[in-house]
Amino acid sequence: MSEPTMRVRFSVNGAAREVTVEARKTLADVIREDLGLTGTHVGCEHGVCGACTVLVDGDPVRSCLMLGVQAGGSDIVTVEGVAGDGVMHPVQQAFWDSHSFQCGFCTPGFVITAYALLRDRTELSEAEVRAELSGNLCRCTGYQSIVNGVLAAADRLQDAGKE
Amino acid sequence: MAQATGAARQVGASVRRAEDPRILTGAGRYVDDIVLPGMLHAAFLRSTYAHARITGVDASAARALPGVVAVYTGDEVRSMTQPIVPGTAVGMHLMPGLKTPTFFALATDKVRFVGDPVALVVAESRYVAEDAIDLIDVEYDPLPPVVDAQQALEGSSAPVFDELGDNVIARYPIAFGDTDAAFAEADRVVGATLAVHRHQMVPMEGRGAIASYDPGPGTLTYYASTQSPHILKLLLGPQLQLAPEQVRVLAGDVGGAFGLKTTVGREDVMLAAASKAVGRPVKWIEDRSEHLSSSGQAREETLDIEAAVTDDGRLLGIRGRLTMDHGAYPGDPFPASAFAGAIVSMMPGPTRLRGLSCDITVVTTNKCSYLAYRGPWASG
Repeated sequence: MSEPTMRVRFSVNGAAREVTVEARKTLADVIREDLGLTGTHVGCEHGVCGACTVLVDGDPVRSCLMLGVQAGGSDIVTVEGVAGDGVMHPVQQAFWDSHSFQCGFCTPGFVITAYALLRDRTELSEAEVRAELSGNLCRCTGYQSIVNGVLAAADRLQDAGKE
Repeated sequence: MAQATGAARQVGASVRRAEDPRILTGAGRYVDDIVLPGMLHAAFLRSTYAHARITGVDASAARALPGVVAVYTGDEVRSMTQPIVPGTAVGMHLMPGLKTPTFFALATDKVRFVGDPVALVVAESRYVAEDAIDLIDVEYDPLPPVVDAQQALEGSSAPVFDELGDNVIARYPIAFGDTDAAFAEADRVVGATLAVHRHQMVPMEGRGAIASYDPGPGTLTYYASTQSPHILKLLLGPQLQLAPEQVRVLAGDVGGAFGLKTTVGREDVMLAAASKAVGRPVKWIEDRSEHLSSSGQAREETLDIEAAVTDDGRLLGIRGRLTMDHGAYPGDPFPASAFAGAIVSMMPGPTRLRGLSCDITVVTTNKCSYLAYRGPWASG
């Protein structure tokens, strides 16, 4: 095999990881195949659907549009790293309560996008939530239940902040 | 009989789904999440022409690429699988007025739509399989494409399937009640033309499967993103000359389908044949580009109707002519022609009619195949 490979070190969901991968391999494929974290889904492979969204150094990015080797030295969070100690994050809990998905294929991307959004601020109008989620596509729900889930999570995080 | 009360009451209650926690935490199990020991990866080479004869395929450079295990073309598929005669497994081919062409999982003599599978590469990784696709040379002799139903009905259009003689693949009447009596009773007759454009299903997860043939007992285990595991079991066996009990189909989480994944694709047949030939598991995950060109489409019918009505606003009966653009290959086991009858049957909805009759014409064109999509005409 003549394809050049590179050794990459990064932090993934808080743990130090090291893999040797082809330089041309997307971050999405490195996460799924080399790190074995299959919660990150590939829906369109060209940055449109948002199913592959992960956090790289805190920012939501399309892991299908980034090469794995470009993430060297970064801090990566995938959907598997959102819950803590077996307890769902308020975003995940609110998505469950609000029936925010049907088939669930787009859900990891929505969870990561909402997680990053509500980490920064929880005072949000419905219109703002819709605008913030506009980079993630769902084909089952019609979006209303997803928006409801994010607004419910925002309320819960606000209440938790007041306690 | 005791009334359900309190916690036992389910009607009207908001019930959380049992599968949601694992999906929310990234622990779902969709077909691409499954990794089998020794698993290879497949990619299809697809036609860039809507209608053309294949005059030559040179796959020697692809076969020589390191990491490529096998390349199959139309030459090989004839000996690897049985020809597909859509509908036979469930008797749909016996439908009156229906013509049934015979074809293979890969294009052999000609291609019939942009995206028609022409070759399959099996390699150590999907990346290498796609590299090899680029190395296959196909020579085409283009034919005039049949682009819509009107053109398909013209005698001069080139037949999509030569053996059918023309592009009318089904013609049959459908009738309920006494339509003549309804029109005799009517105060007036009104007409309308209802045309629906072509649609596509486009679930977030495309099609995909892993075929795993075990040469010892001669059994095929097929992991699929499917709505219809039993149909896969029923159809894959005969294609590979296996008895149904030699085929086991496993369906896990499915990332949407909307009807698309009720059909057994030609890709399913080819993938299973490839695993049988190489004796190792082979995974194929459809990418978005091939999904949009090749997975399936639906709708694109024109319905000309006359309605018998009364001056006080009652609808008594309907006479119609339905023309359906079937696309290229009939779906297996449900050819599009069968959905035409369903459209007419469902059209009145809850309206009580004295009679309904419709003449149905279904034509083949050089488009992606018409497959199941939600309820026929029941939603946009």
